[in-house]
Parts: sequence; structure tokens; C-alpha cells
Amino acid sequence: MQTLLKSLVIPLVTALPLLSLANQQTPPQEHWAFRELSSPALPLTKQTSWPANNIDRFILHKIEASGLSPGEKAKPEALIRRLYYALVGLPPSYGETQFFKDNFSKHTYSELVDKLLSSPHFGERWGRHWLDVARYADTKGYVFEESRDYPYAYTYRDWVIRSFNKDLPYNRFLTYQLAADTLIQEDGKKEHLAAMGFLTVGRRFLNREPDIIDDRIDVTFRGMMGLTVACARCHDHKYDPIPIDDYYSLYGVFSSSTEPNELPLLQEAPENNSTRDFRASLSKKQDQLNSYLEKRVSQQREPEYIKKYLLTATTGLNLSEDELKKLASSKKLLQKITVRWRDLLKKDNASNDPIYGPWLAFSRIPPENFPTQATNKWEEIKSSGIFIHPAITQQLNNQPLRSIETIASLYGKTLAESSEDPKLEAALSPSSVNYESIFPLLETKGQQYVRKLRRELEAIKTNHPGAPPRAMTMVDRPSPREPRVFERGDPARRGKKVPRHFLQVIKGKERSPFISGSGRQEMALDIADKDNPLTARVWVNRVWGHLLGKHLVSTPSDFGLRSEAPSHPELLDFLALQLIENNWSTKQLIRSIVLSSTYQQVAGHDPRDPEKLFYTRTMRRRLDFEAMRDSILAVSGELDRSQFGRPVKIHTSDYSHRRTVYGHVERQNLPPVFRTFDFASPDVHTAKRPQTIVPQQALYMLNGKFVRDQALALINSPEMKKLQKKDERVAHLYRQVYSRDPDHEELADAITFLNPKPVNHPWDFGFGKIDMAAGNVNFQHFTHFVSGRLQIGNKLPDPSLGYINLSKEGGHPGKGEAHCVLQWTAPHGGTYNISTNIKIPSTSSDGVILRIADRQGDVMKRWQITPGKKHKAGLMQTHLEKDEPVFLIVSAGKTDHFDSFEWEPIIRESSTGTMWEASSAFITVTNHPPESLWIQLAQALLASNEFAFLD
Amino acid sequence: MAIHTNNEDIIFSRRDFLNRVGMGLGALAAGQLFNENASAAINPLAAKNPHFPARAKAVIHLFMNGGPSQVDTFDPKPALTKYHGKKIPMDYLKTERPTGAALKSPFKFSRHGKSGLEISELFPNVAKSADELCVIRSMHANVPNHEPSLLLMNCGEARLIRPSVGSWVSYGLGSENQNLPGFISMCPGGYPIQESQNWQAGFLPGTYQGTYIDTKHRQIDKLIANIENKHLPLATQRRQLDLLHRMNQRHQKLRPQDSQLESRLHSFELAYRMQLDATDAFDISREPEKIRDLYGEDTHGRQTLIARRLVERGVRYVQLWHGKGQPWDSHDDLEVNHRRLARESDKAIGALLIDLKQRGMLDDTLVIWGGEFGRTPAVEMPKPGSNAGKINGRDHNHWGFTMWMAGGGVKGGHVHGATDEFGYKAVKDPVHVHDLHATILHLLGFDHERLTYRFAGRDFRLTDVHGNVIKDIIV
Repeated sequence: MQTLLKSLVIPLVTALPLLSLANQQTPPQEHWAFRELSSPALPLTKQTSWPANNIDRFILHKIEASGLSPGEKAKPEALIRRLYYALVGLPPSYGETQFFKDNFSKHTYSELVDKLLSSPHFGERWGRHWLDVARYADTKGYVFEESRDYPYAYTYRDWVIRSFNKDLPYNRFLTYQLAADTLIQEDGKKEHLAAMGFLTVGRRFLNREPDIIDDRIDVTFRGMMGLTVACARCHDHKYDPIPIDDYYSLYGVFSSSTEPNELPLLQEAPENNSTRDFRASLSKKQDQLNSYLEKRVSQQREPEYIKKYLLTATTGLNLSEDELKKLASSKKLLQKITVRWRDLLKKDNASNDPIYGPWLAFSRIPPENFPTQATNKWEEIKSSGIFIHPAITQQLNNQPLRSIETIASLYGKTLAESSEDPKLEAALSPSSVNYESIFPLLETKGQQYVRKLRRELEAIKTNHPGAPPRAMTMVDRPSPREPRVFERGDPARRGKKVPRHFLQVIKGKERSPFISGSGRQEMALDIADKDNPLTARVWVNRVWGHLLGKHLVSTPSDFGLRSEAPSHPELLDFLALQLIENNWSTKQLIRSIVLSSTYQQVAGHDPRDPEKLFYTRTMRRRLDFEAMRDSILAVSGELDRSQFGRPVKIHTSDYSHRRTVYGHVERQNLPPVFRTFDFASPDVHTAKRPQTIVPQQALYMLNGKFVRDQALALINSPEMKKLQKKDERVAHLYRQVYSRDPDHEELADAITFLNPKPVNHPWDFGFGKIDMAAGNVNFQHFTHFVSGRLQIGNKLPDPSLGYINLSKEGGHPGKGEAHCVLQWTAPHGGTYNISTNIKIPSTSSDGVILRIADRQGDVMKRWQITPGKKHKAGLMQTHLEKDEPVFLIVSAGKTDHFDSFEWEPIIRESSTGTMWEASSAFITVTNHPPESLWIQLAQALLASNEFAFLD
Repeated sequence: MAIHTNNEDIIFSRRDFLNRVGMGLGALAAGQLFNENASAAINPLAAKNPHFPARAKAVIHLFMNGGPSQVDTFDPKPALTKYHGKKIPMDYLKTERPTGAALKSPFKFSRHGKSGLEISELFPNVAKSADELCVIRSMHANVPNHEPSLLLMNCGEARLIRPSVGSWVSYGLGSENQNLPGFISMCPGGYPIQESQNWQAGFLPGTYQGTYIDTKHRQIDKLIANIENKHLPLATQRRQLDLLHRMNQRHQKLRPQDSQLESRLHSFELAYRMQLDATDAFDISREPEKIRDLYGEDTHGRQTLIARRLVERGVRYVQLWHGKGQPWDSHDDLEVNHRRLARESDKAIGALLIDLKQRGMLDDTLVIWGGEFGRTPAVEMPKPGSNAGKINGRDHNHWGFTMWMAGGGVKGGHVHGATDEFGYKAVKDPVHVHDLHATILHLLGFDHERLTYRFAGRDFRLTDVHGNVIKDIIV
């Protein structure tokens, strides 16, 4: 009750100013985030030994000012774990943890920091943080007919990882992502072209340009500058000094840029079978597409087609466009080309046309009169004085004019053969199409076929192992577009023209327009400029948040007027200036933060600072999706550490064992496991991932195939197999999973778990044989329980003993002397009836033998069971002493083929009528086959809070 | 509710405080309760109170994807019979494709219930509950195309990334049953057009996204991911879970006052119970035969009965899609197709209304029926590649269409608004999709202007800058 009261009082103080904050109006120029970076004086602190570097002086100053004191330093084993996850996203090994613990010093700590910063896995961890910012996905989202994949998105992901690994200065990191196309013309570093995936891997909104550009503006400005520029799409920003004009200035930059039809190669493909095969498959498919289109292009100009177009267009001279199109389809002609023919023949002066004048005159002759009137008509036309093209005259003069079809054929021949003549060529213009323009004119079937071929082409580029990587780049259009404001965001309502230039809030109203190409490079340089007050602040705040779990500015992608002021404004500026001074080195920034005492404090809750405003503790955090999945693979020994390349499937039952950052991200239907574990939405720039705890996560840990597989791998590892003693095996699991030894209590608990209390019932399920020599029944327990069956390994059949197993309803005897054995032990002395039904369902079996034997292995009765029908077997009135066992034994006939049997063993005490059914005992017995217990233990370790949370 | 964290403690304590001084949760729900910048792990589905007392606690949305024709179902237009085969005497509105003469409805309408509500012969079973239906004949949307209209109907925005209605409701109300997802979308055989974007969480946390269930399947493990352990019987798993709890408790003892740890421990208990509860919720064989017969044992009967079982167990928002793709899209053979589609769904929907009523659940369950738009009263003209050229179907029509609601605080046996004489355009009391959304939220106890989420510098809401509650249809 007391703590409840306390928690009511403290928030009261802090909550009220927070609520009123939104209503306060700060003049924009005075807003903390828009002011230039100021070099703060280092605060003096009472304690002088605690600060490890200058960061700590800012933190400690505030701690002291509020009457608090910093937390203790975390233990070495917590620190090594914290560093590993923070920097590479993987757990440290047991050996390394012990070494670190035994040799812990300031020096070994900083050595470890340097080691991890230079690990190739550093980029995988920090690259993924940036991919959240960049709303990375491997697909376009919803599409109609085109291929859904971005075949080369991975080249961007790999560029990001590599850039973090080599500590590409952050300002260059940004500018390459916006303008690598022009920047590499200066530095020649072609590999940076891949950086522009930042702009191009977004959702495609069914190819609507305004939405694509809006997405790019949003990801750029929220991602890099913490400015919600996209809020100014329809009207001036409601809170921040971003007028709608500024939005469309930037819109102009993006609309003056375009994606090249053929994306540039990032590297020359090596010459090998795979790349040769890729080129061959690609060019085969391309040829198929080309030759189809070429065929359709040339077809339109063939004499036979010209003839049909002429005849159809003439018949349809006075039809409505829809009717004409219908007619065209019925003649197997292209609709739009037919309409073009008709329009040509319908032109005002068509009757006097040197080419079509005669045709139109002929077409007016009623068909039945044609043979008799055509020649006269032709003479009449020639003598009428209109000019007739000589090619037509020549053609018609030399032929018998039998019907309108004959004339059409002659026209077809003339026009098709005389493409040298510009007049004839012009007359053929309705049928003149080229490779590019034919597609929209094709009938539906033709378009579908072309789309199918194009998708197949894309699929080769996406899936063929020999496909060389390409960069998803952008280039400037040959001439930039002059943007206009879309009033209320509506592209149909073009408003005033605006120049392409940078944001007023940074550059002032008197800024100069961009002059080079689209202006994208200038925009990039303005963003990454050291005098831009936002860029460095935004980045150091992101890095701080990732490392400390709580940001200095609580809205990492919104530094606008409505954001809360930083908790430590001087520290924010100090870090930002330090970043710039250190040539924008992200690794230096991370290094200085993790070397601080602030970072090294113990994790947890400080009751004196319930809202964690002062950093007197570090935050205990749940592993994110990637760290969780990667860690499970790492501790099970199954992690595939290979890097880069095409995305792999990580959610399917044949999932890849590679790190999660290489998993395929399907934007449209993101597999539920990503969502369940709070993966960043691939649809919009993510400032911070939510951290939820929901039962679906627990279900995944308890029942998911992935976790069980890895628990099994842990149990079956070679190291584990070498160990015999239970306590050693348990200790090994603790070392693998937690990088530490179990204590006595933990060990004892695990051992108890592995030794379940004997179950209080008389049935026991096993296998074995009658050992005549020893005079007993050799009874052994099964070791595995898989899909409802007790067996001796994970898989059936066992290489030496065959299909031997027992289930609730029956079983299958093994090869040779591996018999199914059911043991029943009398709870007290008495007379018992032993009976069972037994049946072999498969008629392909040669039968089995059922025996009931006593403890000396003497067979009391024997039945030959033939397949197909149900047999009744049993022994009446058998006397058993207390604890005396009796055995039901099923063995194969000549062969064990198809020897599955079903049975229902029941034992009844004659005097009392008490019954013991084997099937109801089965459930209890199968609770604890030994291997299953080990898997359960391993799985519990993987599912535990100690594994999931980071101190 | 045992699941919460330090941060949430604070927030909830704030609420306690504000409640005491008489402001209520509403004041804080606006962006402060939970937003993209909340960082500590919390249970996002803890049950929450809305702004004011709710009329409805849950929603069942029967989505007739593809667009059913209003003039053949709930909006009779005798004038079409009169003008059948002739041009409709009005300026044709632009729809997706060319249309021709008036096409009379091939279906007979008659009056039902005390209210005398007019319903066509397509829905004899639904008609039995005529006095429960609140038919809105004046719905309208923005464009005559499936993709943007589906997104508009589901997310209140036709193109951009926005959370769906069900996600907003889960965000606002949490769930009454922690052992089941709060928002479930069922569609037999595969996805509708626009796929899982229809039940997206958008920029809300992923847990508010609809859980998709393919009701073609009958086995529970195909319906809900990881709901069954293939290797351990429940009793054995219980023993494993007890071991896990002991491990977690030892871990927690050294790390006091961190409710995230407690939350996660608790989530395993919930998961364990979910295995029983979810299996139970989806197992319709536990219903009496009488009830199963009422709904019918086909896919629609099954999924509709599951919907009732889910709502009964506290699930907030259930969407039932007619089927994969866009089944109601009758560009050709409208008579044959609409007859078949209605036959597939009428029995189950009729059963749902009767069943909810007899259980007393209809009062606080809002049932919504409709598509993303309606169809034209004029016949669709042949267009190669887009129809079969039979001249006996109808084009999309967003200018005016019908949806109905039942239960959850709406008037029964009631008709709201009207289209013109021919059923083309909403003319009397038009209701835009945004208005429908505002009304749904209102019935659930929310002021649609105050149910917001702070994202990317803005307080977003389902209705953006639009939406008026349709007061006339509320009891």
C-alpha cells in the first residue's frame, strides 16, 4: 500500500508539466533543436572519482543536483553480456565470460570494446538498427501484375552492414544514401551506389508517384533530421515551421530523379558456370520476350494485316468506337490500331487523299456490282484529276479488279513493300508501332503473356545464383522538373510554382535554389552539413537510445516543436559536437558511451528515480527479435555465421540458420512471427520498436518448431554426448545457454526434474526379449517419445532394430529379438485375469506372436496372430505374489514387415473386479522418457527470463 | 490485471490520479497512454475503458468482399423494372467501366417483420431477423475500384499506411480475454484483395494487427500458430512450465521491482491456458447439434459459429470475409452469382442473428454487413479483359450502396438514408465510410476525434479529419 501511495505522488509532480507542454508555443527560432550546436561547459561534480569520461560529468551533475547518487558498477559477467549484445547482438561464450571475469579491469574492458567494435558482426547489429530507420524490405508491397520482389534490395542491406563495419563517416553514410550517383563521379567508389536503396526500397503504392515520393521525403527527413516534413503535404505543418511550399520544393528534387531502367552492376560477375548459366537463361528469356514483341510489331505491317485493317476500318467507318473495337476483336485485329485506321480514313479530306482517295471510291461500290463496275470506276478516278500516288496507280493498273478484297490486297502489298517512300510510310502510320509502344495496344491475352515473361525475367534476376548484384540507384532526369504545390495534397490541383531548395527552418527564407541537376546532391550535403543543427543531434540520440535503452530526446524521429525537450540538453550537444570533431565516427561515439561509468552501472529499478530520468541505473531490456533468434542458434551451436547475399527464409519449417538480419522481409504479408516479436514495420520508418510481452511469444517458445529443434541440437551436440553424468550435463547446458555455471540450488532443481518420481501404477512399457540362459525377461525402457510413440531413437525405423515402438493403442515389434514388452507388477498378492484383444490391420503382414511370460521367462501361453481379424487372448485365474511381474510380449513372425498391431491389454483382479487398463496408464508413463526430459530442460533454459533479458 | 511494468505503473497511477480528480481515462487516452515512443515492455492488450459507457463490447464484421449489389438485396428500386433495357433518365455517374441500360433486379423483394423492412428473396434467413436490422441505404465511398475502397472501408484511408478499424479497437479497448487474440480476421481459402493490409496494424504496435485465420482448415494447429505442442501432452508441459517458473523466480529474486520479468513469467501461464481456451473456442463440435444445424456445417456456417464463440469469450473484433479474392464482384451473370453467394452466406448470417439474440448477446455485439462498395443499377457493357461480355452484370458503384448493422445499440427494423430513384447515388442523409467508422467507434464508447495515436509528429485517428456520428440510427 505504501509503494502504491508513493507511486501516486511522484507522477503527480512530473505528469502535470508534461500535459501542458503541448500547448506551449515556443517561437521556432528559439526551439532547442533548431538552435545551433553549442559547446557546453563541462559541469563540476562533487564526486570526482566516479566519472570515467566527460559523458559522466553531465550525467552525474544532474544526479547530484537532484539529491541522488549513481548506481553501482555492474558485475563483469553482466557487462560482457551487455557489451556483446549491444555491439554484435550475440552472446559471449562461457570461456570468454570466465576469462573476462577472472581478469576484469578497466583495461580488459576497453580491450573487449575494441574487439567487438572491430568484429564483422558489429555491422549486422548496427546495420539492422539503421534498417529500421530505412523501413527496409525485400518486396514492393501490393502490386497488380508485376513481380513483387526487389531482386537487389539485399545489396542495400549489405552496404549498410559493410558501412558500419568500416565506420564510414556518418555524414558520408548519409550523403551516399541520397546522392551516391553523383558523389561517386567524384570519388570513383562504385560500391557506394548500393546506398541509394535507402530511397528505393520503400513501398510502391501501385506505382503512384506522389505516394512514392511522400514515402521518400518521410524516410529521409524523419530518418536523418528528425523532422516530420511529410506533415506538410496537404497544408503548412501545424506545429513546425515547415510550409507546404517547402514540401513541394523537396518533392521537386525527388520527382526530378528517376530510377534507371537497367540498374547498374555493382561488380563484374566472375566467370564461372553459374554466371554463364545465369546469362544464358536471362538472354534466352529476353530473346523470347523480344521475339514475341518484334513479331507483333512487324505483324501489323504485313500485307495480309494491312488488308484486314483496311477492310475492317472501312466497314466500321460509321460505327461507335466500342462497336468498332468489338468488330476488330472478332477479326483478330488489335482494337486500338483498327481505330487508328478508321480515323485515318475518316479524315476530312480523305476522299482526295492520293493514296486512300481511290480506296474510298472503290469501297462505295456495292459488292454485287463490283466485278462489272470496278474497271470503269478506276478509269473515272484517274480522269477526275485528283493526284494519285504513282505506286497505287502502278499496282492497280496491272491487275484484274475483281472485288474490294482484291483492291485491299493490292493496297496491302503496295504499302508493306514501300517503306522507303515517306508518303507511303505516312499512309501506314496506324500500323506503325515499335517495340516500346506495342504493349499497351496488345489484346489482353498478349499483354498477359508479356507480363508473364517479364515476371519470369525478374525471377531469374532474383533467384538465379549466378545473377550479379546491382544497385537500386536513382539518377537525375535529363532536365529537372519545376515543382508546383499540390493544393490540399491533390496532384490534380496544381498551385504555384516553387523553386527546388532546402528547408527554410534550416537555411532561412533567403536560401538559394539548388542549381545542379535535380538538386539531390545539394540536398544531401545540406542534410549532412555540420552546421545543420538537427542531423548530428538526431544520430547521437539514436545511438544513445540503443545503448542505454532510454533516449535523451524521447521522440527520436521528431525533434519538432511538439517534442519533449531533451533530458540532458548539454550532453546531447556535447555528443553531437564530439561526433563531428571525430570525423563523424559512429564507432568512436559508441566507444565513448560504453566506456562511461553511466553505461556500466548495474541494471534495474531505482525507487528514488521511478521514471528513470537521471540514469542512476541502466535499463533491463528484453532481447529484440533478431538477438533472441540469433542467440538461440548461437547457443545451440547451429548458427551459420556466413555474411551477406540474397535474403533467406527464416520463418518456414526449413528455416535458414543464418542471422536474422539476412531474413527475407515480405512487406505485404509480413510473417506473424516478426510481428509477434515487435519487429520494425517495413512499411514506415520506425523510430523505436514497441516492446510488448504477449502470450503468442510464449507459445512460440514453448511449442514452436524452431525452439524445439534448437533445444534438441543442444542436447545432441558432440560435447553433450561426451558427458555421462547428469550434473555435468546440466552444467554444460547452463554454460552454453547462460555462459555461467549453475549454483547448487539450480543443479538440484534440474536433477529433480530429470528424475521424475516413479509413477504409481503397475504397467511399464518397454522392449526386450526372453533370456533363457539368465532365466528372466530382459526388459528395457524406450528412450524417446515422438508423435505419440515410445521408441528408441528420433526416427523410425531404427537402423538395427527396425520399427520397434509402443503407442497407446498398439505398437510394432522390431527385428530379430527386439520384441515389444509390456510389464505389469502386481500391487498385492491375488488372482488376476490377464486379457487383450489384438489385431494386425495390414494383410501384408505374415503375423506376429503374442506370449504371456512370468518372471523366469517361462511362457505361460502363446498365440499366433494372423493379420486382418481381431483375436482374443488371455489367461484366467493367474496367481501372482505382491510385486511379482507378468509380461505380455509381442514378437515378429518370419519377417517384421507390416507387423503393426492394435491391442487393449486389461488386467482384472478376480476377487474385487478392479481393472487396470494399459492404455490409460500409457499417458502417465510417457510423460518422462529420458530424452524428452533433457529437451524440456534445454527448452526451459532458452525460454527463461535470464536468457531473454539483459542486465 | 497483473501484467504491467514500471513505466506502465506510472501511467496507470496517473490515470488513478486523474480519475480521482474527475477527468477520467479519456483525457489521457489521447496519445498519452501508449504511443510509438513508449519504450518499456507492457501488455498492450490489457482491458481498457473507453471514453464513455459503450453500447457495444464487440464487433462482428461480415465482409462481402467484391461488392454486393444494393438494388438486388436491401434497396428495392421498382423504377428499374419500368426502365429495364432503356437508358436511365439521369446523367450517368462515372464508375469503373462503361454501363448501359437499366437492369431490373431479377430478385423479388418482400416486406418482413413488424417493421416491414424490404429484403430480397436472396436472404430469407437474414429476413427472419428483419426487426433487428438497421439498413443504411445511403452509404458512399470515394472511388469505384476494389483496392482503394477495401483500404478505405478497413483503414479509413485508401492508399497510405493506416491501422485498420479492428486494430484501433484493440488499441483502444484491449481484450477481455488474454488467452485469445483481440482481433481476428477469418477468410476461407486465402486472402481477399489487398491481403493482410486489410487488417494491418499500420504504425500501431504489431500485436494490434488482426490475426488471420484460414477457415478452410479444421485442425486447430493450422488455425493458430504454435497452439499445440506436437511432442508433449499438456500434463507433461505443465511440469516443464513449473520448472521454468522456478528458474524465473530464482532469477527474479535477485532483480526486485522489475515488473517486466513478472509480465513475461505471467505470459507463459497465459500461453498455457490459451492452448486450452483457443482450442475450445475454435472447436465447434462442442456446440449442441441444434446450434450446428442452425448455422449449417459448411465453411460459412463453421466460421460464423466460431465468430460467435470468439465474441462470447471476449474477442473484440472479428471480421468474416466471404472468401478469397473478390467473390461478390458480379460483373457478369449477376443473377446466378448473387444467388449462389447469398445461398452460401444467408443461412449462417441468419443463424448468427437469431443465436446472438437468444443468448442476449445481440445487445452488446455490433454486427455489420456489407462490401467495399455496391453495384450499378445500369448493366455493365462488354469490355474485353474485364468481363465476359454477357451484358447481365453490374459494375462497381461507390456513389451509393447499402450496408446494415444489427445489435450493439443501433435501431432495429430501421432504414436510414436513401439512394435516388434508381439506386445510383446516395441522396438522402448520405453516410460516408468515415461516418460509419465514427459511428462504430461511438457505439464502442469512443469519441472518434479523441481516440488517437501519436506517430511521426501527428496525432493520427481512424477518421483522419472526417467523420460524423450518425445519431439517427442509435437507439
